Amino acid sequence: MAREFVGVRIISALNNTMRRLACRRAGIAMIVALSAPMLVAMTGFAVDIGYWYQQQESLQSAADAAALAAATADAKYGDNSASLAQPFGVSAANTATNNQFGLTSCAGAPCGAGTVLVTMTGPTTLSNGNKIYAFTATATITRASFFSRVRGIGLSGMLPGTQAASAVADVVATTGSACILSGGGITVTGGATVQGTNCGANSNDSSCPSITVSGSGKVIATTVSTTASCVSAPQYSGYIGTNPLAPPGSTSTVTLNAQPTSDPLANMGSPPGWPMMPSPPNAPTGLTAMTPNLGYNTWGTAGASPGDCVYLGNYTANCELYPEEWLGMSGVGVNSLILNEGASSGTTYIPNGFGGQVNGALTMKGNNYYISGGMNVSVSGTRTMAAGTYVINGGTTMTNGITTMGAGTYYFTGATNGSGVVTGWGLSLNAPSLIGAGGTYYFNGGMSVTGSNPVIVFGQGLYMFSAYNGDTSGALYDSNSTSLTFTGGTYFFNGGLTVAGNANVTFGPGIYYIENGNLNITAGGVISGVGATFVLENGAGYVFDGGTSTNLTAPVTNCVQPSAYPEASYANMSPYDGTDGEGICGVIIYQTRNDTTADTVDEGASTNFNGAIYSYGAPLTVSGGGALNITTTGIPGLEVGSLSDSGSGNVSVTENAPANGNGAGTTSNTALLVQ
Amino acid sequence: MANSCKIFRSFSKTKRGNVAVEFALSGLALFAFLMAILNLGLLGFSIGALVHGVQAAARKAGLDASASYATSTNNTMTCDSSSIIQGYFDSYADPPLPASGTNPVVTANWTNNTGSTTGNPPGVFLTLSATYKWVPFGFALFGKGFTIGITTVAVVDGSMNSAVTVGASC
Repeated sequence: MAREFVGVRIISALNNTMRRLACRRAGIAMIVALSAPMLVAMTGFAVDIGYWYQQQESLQSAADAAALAAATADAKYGDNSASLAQPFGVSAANTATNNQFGLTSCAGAPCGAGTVLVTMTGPTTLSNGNKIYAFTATATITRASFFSRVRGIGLSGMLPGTQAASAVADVVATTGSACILSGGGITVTGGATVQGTNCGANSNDSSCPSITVSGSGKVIATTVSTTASCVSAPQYSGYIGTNPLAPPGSTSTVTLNAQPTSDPLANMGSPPGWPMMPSPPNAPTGLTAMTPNLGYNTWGTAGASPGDCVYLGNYTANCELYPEEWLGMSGVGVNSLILNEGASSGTTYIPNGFGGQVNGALTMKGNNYYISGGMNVSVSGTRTMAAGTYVINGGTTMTNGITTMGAGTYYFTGATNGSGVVTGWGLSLNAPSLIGAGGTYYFNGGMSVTGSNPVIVFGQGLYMFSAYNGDTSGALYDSNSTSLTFTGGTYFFNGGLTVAGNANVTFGPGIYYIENGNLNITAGGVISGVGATFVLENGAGYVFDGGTSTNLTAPVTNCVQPSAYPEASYANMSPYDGTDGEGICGVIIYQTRNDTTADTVDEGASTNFNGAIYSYGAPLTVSGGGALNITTTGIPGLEVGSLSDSGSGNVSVTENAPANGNGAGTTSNTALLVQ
Repeated sequence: MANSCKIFRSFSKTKRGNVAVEFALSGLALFAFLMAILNLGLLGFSIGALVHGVQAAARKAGLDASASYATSTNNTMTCDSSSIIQGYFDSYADPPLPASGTNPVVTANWTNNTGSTTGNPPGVFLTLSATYKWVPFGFALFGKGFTIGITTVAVVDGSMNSAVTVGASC
């Protein structure tokens, strides 16, 4: 019963409802009619809002890309200019959004729709010297409105607007993160100091302790870091760190467990292969062999034709020889002698040696000479060698006089033993003054410079020196108070290079390759130069000692960037130097990474390098009051395999900040998206 | 019993209530469909919010790490803690999602892969995951729900060299 009762109640209620509805037949239609515009509008609005969200996501990507691209461009080019960075930002924004918005550059705020504006603030300098340049990119577009702008019954529509998104990317210029980089440890003892000014000292030696000082030794730099977990300094004396005012023994400012410092010059390539010393041309054939009468005591006899001497009195025979093969030239004794007389391009062949004395002028006119058995003519006056090709075997000695060497190709080969092995100097200069016009010089047996106060200048060219068998003093050995200048070019020293005995050698712009012997500045030697780079390889190191003085400046113009060295085209063609006779920008000494020959600066050596020393595979020892002073701009000053500094030896590396204020050394300009 | 028979007989003869009956029968299905459509929309909305929250939070945490390196005076990179990252997630996804904690669950893991020649990507990166147990609205009988999840990776940009010490938080 109860169920029936409920059923009656429900049916009754339904009937009542139907009746009421029957009385209001237009009610629903009216409600639908009134609410439809609102529902349609809301639906359309929902579509628009969804699209706006999608646009905002894309726009943020555009802004992110623009800011990062602007900062990256600045990090690369160092312009510190928003206007110069902006085109990179616009391009990146369009690329990141598949050119969805067709963004263009905004000339300045306020920006219209469809633009990207890049602004820059900074630099903000942090207490550690880092500089921050903040690049803000703002991308603005027209806000799409498919439905929201529709105007209708009771709806006013939304006015078109804009959407914008912005992002901030920083360029962090890390100042001189490492200008002293040791692949191994750094050891400082006694009162020695290793100092990095405006830059850091890093050790990549992970064995503990990697940086050790004892006595009153110091390692001071803008930053000091190591990959090892500890460094060692005595409690009351030595110091390692960034703050010289800190208590002795404190190492709290050293960054431990750092990531290994990557070698900033790691992309500097290996030198091209060492070129072969070419064999000199063979002696000519077909010349008539004659014996002239040259000599103080034979002046009364006419010389063999074609050639003659004019006798004017004792010791005044003036002789002239035409181009031919001349025998009996080893004991010349005349006042003056002219070879190749009467010809502008003759050939003289002297097979049995050319020696003796010329009181006045020895003139070797153009242009081909083949001399065997050596040339050793002492000249009191002038020695003139006209432009041409000179092949002199058996060693050449120039004693006294004033020598002029024309532009040409010179093959100086030293004396040889029975096996053809060169056993003496190719060219021995004994106190002549010499002006060489340059050209191509081959010194098979090397070159020795002795005697007091001559002035020797070799002009621009290609020079190859190869030490003779048994030589221990270098392919070039300058051992007396000479003034020797290499004007510049490409130089190869196989067997080392020694400057000693108060010799003063100037190295002009160019590249100087040394192997199988050291760059050895010793016993009061003085070297200087601007624009020279020394490339040491295959068992060559550098030694500066014994009260020597060194002032060298690296090339900064007309040079090959380290990352581009060796230039492929110059590594595959003569003279195979990788730079076409130029140096490596910013680098004074480049000892190849696989050359582990130990390097030394000691015993009161005074060195000033305005450029970098790179010997990352070799240990460097500084001792005994030796001073190694290095100043560089934008390149790490000293990279060594390991560094040992003792006695009162000082190593000082200073970084100059380049014009853009981004610091120096291994300065890394890093672009970071930060907001 | 006789009464009730009469009532059903008369009711079965009348046509006046057939619309209502049809509505009552089909309305349930219609209502179920409406709720399903509504829930489908809600599910999409929740997934969208979860994805946006995770990606935006990961981006923000990555930028924080970059900014910490940029502005550090001892060249040290520090990374946001999980609670900070959860806060970022909430700021982007709450609402519509509830605050992170038990549901949704946000998990942040930093990896310092600097200097490694294996593994991908190199450098410091954040792996950020979020799971959310989504329960349909209005389907209490079937409303067990299911879990949706999203994982993203954000790499901290910037070149690492020895001057940058990656903090323990990363």
